[in-house]
Amino acid sequence: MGKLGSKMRRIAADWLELPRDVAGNLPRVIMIGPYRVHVENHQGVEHFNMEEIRMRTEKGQLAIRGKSLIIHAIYSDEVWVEGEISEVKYLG
Amino acid sequence: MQKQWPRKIQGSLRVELTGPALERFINNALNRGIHISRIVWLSRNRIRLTLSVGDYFQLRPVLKGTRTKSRILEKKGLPFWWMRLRRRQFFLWGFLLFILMIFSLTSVIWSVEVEGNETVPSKEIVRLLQKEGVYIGQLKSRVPSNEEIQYRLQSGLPQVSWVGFRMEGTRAVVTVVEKKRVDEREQQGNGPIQLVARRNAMIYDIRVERGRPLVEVNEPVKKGQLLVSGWYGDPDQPDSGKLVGAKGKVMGEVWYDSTVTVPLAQKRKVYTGNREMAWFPYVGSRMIRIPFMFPESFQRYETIRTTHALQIRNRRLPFGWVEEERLEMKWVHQKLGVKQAIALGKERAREDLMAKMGEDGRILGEKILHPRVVDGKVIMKIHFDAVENIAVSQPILQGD
Repeated sequence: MGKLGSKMRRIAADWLELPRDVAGNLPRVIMIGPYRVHVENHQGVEHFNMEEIRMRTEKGQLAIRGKSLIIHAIYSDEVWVEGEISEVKYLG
Repeated sequence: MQKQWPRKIQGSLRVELTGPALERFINNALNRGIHISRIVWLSRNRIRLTLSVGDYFQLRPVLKGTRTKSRILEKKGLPFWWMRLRRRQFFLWGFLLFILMIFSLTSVIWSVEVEGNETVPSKEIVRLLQKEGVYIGQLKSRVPSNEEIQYRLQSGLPQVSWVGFRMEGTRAVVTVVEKKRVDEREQQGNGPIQLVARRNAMIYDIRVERGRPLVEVNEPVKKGQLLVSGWYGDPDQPDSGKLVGAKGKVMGEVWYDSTVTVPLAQKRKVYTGNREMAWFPYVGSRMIRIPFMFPESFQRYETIRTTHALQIRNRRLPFGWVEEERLEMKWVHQKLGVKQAIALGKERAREDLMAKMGEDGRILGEKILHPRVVDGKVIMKIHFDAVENIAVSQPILQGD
């Protein structure tokens, strides 16, 4: 997906009044309670340990912080993190 | 979760990875379309993760590229289970043998039990069951239906009023309800009876042991007529005397007509005297015919089979051999003359009548009425003059 392609899509999404995440490659974060986080449209793992997982996304790095974190499942575009999550933050 | 279940079938591996660039390793693996799950961080350069067997083999270039070393901790899933099983083949065969043995041993009758019988010997019932194909060592699938066995047993055992047959696992159980035997003598002792005529007849002889005869010799009587009263005393007031009950026989002269048909051409089986022997092994209740070994050389024959079961200390084994004797026979056609046919018909009719009349009956004389030949058969009417016991007992009904 080139720069032009993503721009085209944004324009199309605005014009058709679709939510941006459906059209673009923006990360979509779902958090279930304090113990589970789904992140869609990630672009790889930057850093991983028990206290912090950092992921690359279209909008910079996304950090998930907490205690005894594990990656329960990871696909090329989706990740599912479990543990005692205290913080989900964009590092910009 | 959506890709979780085929892993059970594919097989999955728990792997420990050590290397300097584990994040890069994960990203590279993801780019190759490898699905990783349950990644647990252990230390800066050590993680554990789970992946499928197929993916593990794709992992090699990624491992090399990131200088990561892998160690398999655990193997889960069907293929590994299967491999382990193959390593323990003896166990597998033993298990199969065990199942096979359970199946084969439970499909055989192990015991035949008879319950509820007091006077009928169990051996007799067991013998009848054997005839129906229910015996120790018989396959359960070859046992006829319960209803059929019940019916056959019932007809084979006149002393019982009800027979129940059921299979309880490997046990064949026969439940018998015996008839309450009521002795005729006992019945007579129970209540006073009187004797009445069974059919229209002429009195031939009266032999009364007890009671008062109401008829005389040479007197014709009608069916149901009172012959011997159970009351002593004044005949005009029948209920006044002493009640003793009647006992005795009243012989009456009775006439019977029977129509007999005798074909003039008789067909009979005759043995020619030629015989041959054959032997076959058998297992269970199935005979194993060995082709070409004992060819049948007779066109028409009768066979007599004797089974010889192998025995171990009085226990019959379910196999042995069958001795077959074949007796050649032929049909012999015989022409009868009319006179011979009449004599034969008369003999048959006499036998029939004697069987019908019972032990006290006897034939005084017979007349053959208009014998005629129709279509190669002699049809005749025979008139019998017979004497039989016409008295039947009837309970005397008393007002309370």
